Amino acid sequence: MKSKTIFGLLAFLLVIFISLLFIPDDKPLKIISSPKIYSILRSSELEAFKIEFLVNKNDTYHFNKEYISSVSLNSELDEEIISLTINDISFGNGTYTYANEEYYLVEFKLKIGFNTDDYLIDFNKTYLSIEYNNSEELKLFIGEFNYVFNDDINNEISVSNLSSTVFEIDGINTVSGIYIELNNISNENLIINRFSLGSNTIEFNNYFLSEIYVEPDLFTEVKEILLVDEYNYKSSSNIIEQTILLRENQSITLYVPLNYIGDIDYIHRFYFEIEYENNLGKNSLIIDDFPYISTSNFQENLEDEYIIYEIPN
Amino acid sequence: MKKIVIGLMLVFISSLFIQESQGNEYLTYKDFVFEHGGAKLLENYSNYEYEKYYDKIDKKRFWGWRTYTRMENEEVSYVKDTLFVIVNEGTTPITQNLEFKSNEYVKKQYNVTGSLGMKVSATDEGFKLGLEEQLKFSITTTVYQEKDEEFEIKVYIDPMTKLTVEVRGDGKVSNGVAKYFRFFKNVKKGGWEIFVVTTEYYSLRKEQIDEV
Repeated sequence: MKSKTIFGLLAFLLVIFISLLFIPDDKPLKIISSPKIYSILRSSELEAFKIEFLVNKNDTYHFNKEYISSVSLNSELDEEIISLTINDISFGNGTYTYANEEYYLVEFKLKIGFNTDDYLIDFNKTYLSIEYNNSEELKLFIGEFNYVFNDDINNEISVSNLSSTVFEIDGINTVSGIYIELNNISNENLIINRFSLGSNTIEFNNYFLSEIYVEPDLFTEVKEILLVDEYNYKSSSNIIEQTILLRENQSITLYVPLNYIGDIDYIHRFYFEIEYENNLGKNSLIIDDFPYISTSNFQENLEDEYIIYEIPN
Repeated sequence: MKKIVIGLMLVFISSLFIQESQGNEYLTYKDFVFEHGGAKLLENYSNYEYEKYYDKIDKKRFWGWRTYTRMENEEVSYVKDTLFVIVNEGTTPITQNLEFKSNEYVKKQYNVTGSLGMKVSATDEGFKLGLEEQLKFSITTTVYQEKDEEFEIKVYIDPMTKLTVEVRGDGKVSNGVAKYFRFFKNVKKGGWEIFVVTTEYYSLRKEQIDEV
């Protein structure tokens, strides 16, 4: 009888032990950010932008809109805080393997929480701050954030060709220069002065802003287009102004290369401003953020730049 | 009742075809340029090449796949169909706002020939019978994503010209042949191909309209 009780007890303990083995560990949440340069022109009230992360759990409240009390973009030392509204939070279909662990792509579709017709946000180091109903807060570094509100209508210049040249840095394709055809649709001559890119750390090299007559191929090197021996992407000459005449009812094709003066040395999509003079003085045309290069922000060549956050249970 | 059943079957069959075409959209791309000479897409394999590659699978198996890989992550560039077109066939220039939404994505696409099969559903796309798991190289480090991007600009279109949004791209192609065995008997064989879109490049381009 005794032995039966002992055996029963042992069997019971064995069952508990085995079932404990099969209970999965509640692993900590990991969030991977791949910092990049955001350069966005908001041309309509409906326009939203997206911020993506890789996460190792797709069933946590951290990515459920209902559990989030507020979300904002914060500058490096929280001197400036821009409140955001969440349009949507969604997961991609596939998975990404990083350091032998499976990750899901999560996308926050966000909108700036206020309306204005002329305002610029330019944070060199930006954090996405997410506050939850349980008072928990996540602050995730996303890179450089530039956002301009502009719904001005320009009746002097229009565009009819717009393309980029690209080059590769450490296996990542990035824009090396912009080719654009501008048409003067006003009744006066205009003077093109400079191009200004919507970023603090990547700029146009206006020293080389010039008229060219053949559209360069996508992969043509900048030095071949400019007919120079070498082109240094790290030089800075943004303050230079040109005086390029764009006659009434005429068009002009221009090329301008880029300079990379910051830590993030790739940009795929950005807005820029063309500064020019008309008879009344200075004016400008802002070109919406065009997707010159479209690729994943999470790829092997960018893994060295990943920032990994581990959130304990 | 018969008509309803036939109608439902037609809807079902046509939905299969629609899904199938999403699985290998890359076959509509053009001007493929491979990094290495001699590289080609599965659809350009000749019968002679199929036979030659089948012969390389000389061992049988009690149950499962035997595969031969002809190309592994071969880099390729291509041109996609234009995304957006404004045509001015008049005699005076026109200026108008161009607004387009691009589908930005990085994804894996599949193609098969012979008696190999593909599974195509909203959440799961790939080869049937676990063929991909049998391929001895990695094509998995890609995030699949698809997202709308909006762009708005005032454009100028000369008479007899058209404005297009052209899309070029880079990808990686892997292909080869495979045989499936049951009780040492070869029951399925054909070609397989995986195409991964890695990067796309957009440009706004003015072109002359050919006068007839």
